[in-house]
Parts: sequence; C-alpha cells; structure tokens
Amino acid sequence: MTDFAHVTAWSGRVRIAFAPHTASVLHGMLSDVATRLGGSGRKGIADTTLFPDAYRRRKTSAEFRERHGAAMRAEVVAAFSRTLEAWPGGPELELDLAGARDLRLVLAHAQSAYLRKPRWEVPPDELFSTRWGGEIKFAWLQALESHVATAALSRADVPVFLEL
Amino acid sequence: MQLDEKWVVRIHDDNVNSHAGVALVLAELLDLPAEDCWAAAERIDTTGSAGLDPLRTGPAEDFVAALQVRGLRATLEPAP
Repeated sequence: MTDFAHVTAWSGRVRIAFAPHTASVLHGMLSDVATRLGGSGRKGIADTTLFPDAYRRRKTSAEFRERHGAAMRAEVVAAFSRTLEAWPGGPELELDLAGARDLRLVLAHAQSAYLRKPRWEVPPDELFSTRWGGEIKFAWLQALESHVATAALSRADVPVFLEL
Repeated sequence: MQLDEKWVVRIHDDNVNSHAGVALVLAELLDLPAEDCWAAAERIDTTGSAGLDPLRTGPAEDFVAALQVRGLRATLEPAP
C-alpha cells in the first residue's frame, strides 16, 4: 500500500493531497490525540508533557502553569477541533493561512503522544525510539509539520510543491 | 515576583520542531517578513537559543504561553 502526501501552496492557500490510507491513518492519529487531550489518567496527556517549564525554578514554573495552563491547553484543543472539523479525513485538504497554522500546531503537539519523553527533551538518537512502536507515525508527523510550515511561509506568487 | 520586573523571553532549539515550523510561529507572533523568520530560526538552531527584547512580567508570560501553545520551547529569564 502506497502512502503519500503532496503539499502545494499557491495564492495563499495550502493544499494537501493524501493517499487514502495515509489520510485514514493520519486522521485517526489526530482524532486519538484530540481525545487524549481532553482525558486524564494513563491515556491523558499532562500539561507537563505538552508545555515545558517556563522558569528555571520548578515551583515558579508550576505557578506559571496554574495561571496559564488551562487556557493554553484550551487553545491546543481548539486548534485540534478546528483542524478535524475542516478535514473529515478525506484525501484532499485545502487550508487558508490560519488553517495551515492550526494544522502545523496540531502536527507538532500530536508528536507528544508517540514519544517517551516530553518533545523538547528528546535527544536526536532517541527520536525514533517511540512508545508503542510509533516510529513511522512520529516520522510522518514531523515531516508533514515541516512541509505544511514551509508551504504556509511561501510567497503567494511562487508555487510550492512538496512531497512525502 | 514583581509585576514591574523585566524578563527576557528565550526561544530554544530542540530536536523536534522544524526550521520551517519555528519560522512560521515567529512570523505569526512577531509579524515579521518570512525571510527574517527563516533567519531567526536558523540562528536559534545554530546558537541553541535566541532571546527577545525584555518585557514586563505579564506580557512576557503571555508571550511565552503563546510560543508554548504553538509547540516551541520558550522560557523566561530575568533581564540583565
């Protein structure tokens, strides 16, 4: 079964064409992470996994999370909701700049579900030592995040074509 | 923590965010041209981090929160 994602940008819009299997798996991954963001316990994703310490001292960082954590998580959850609403899982997806920014954010945070450590603590040689054998899923999230961001940054008058 | 204290927002390099991802976040939050954001992302990758101009506590925390929401590793340190 062939997996692919073709990311193009033109006139301020980002378009992605997925292989049907790629679309199905990726949509399932994002839906799963969206559910886990709203959950707790072993399958939930803690604030300390989503967001690094803001201050050098642990206590001050905990206070920062008390002040901002709920609103920050709500923003991430909202981006997942908007993305999944815009993309029901079909083989084609077209986004404006705001939608592309949402998708990049979603692809970045979704990586947390597959890593053994918080994203910012993973050394290069452990990037593909993932939870539950999710190496390929993690690699797709990382590569697509880069392609979507590159497409979203492109000039409106210069067409971009990127392939995964 | 004093509200009128000044803090440097520092954006750190990591092994998971792409250059393009960092540049896109900077373009959104700092409203800079894409070329400047690519250069800033490159600088963060090369030097390990970049500090922004000092801000008072409230705006500095809000900016770090915005960067972290977008998946970047951003921290606060007292302004020199």
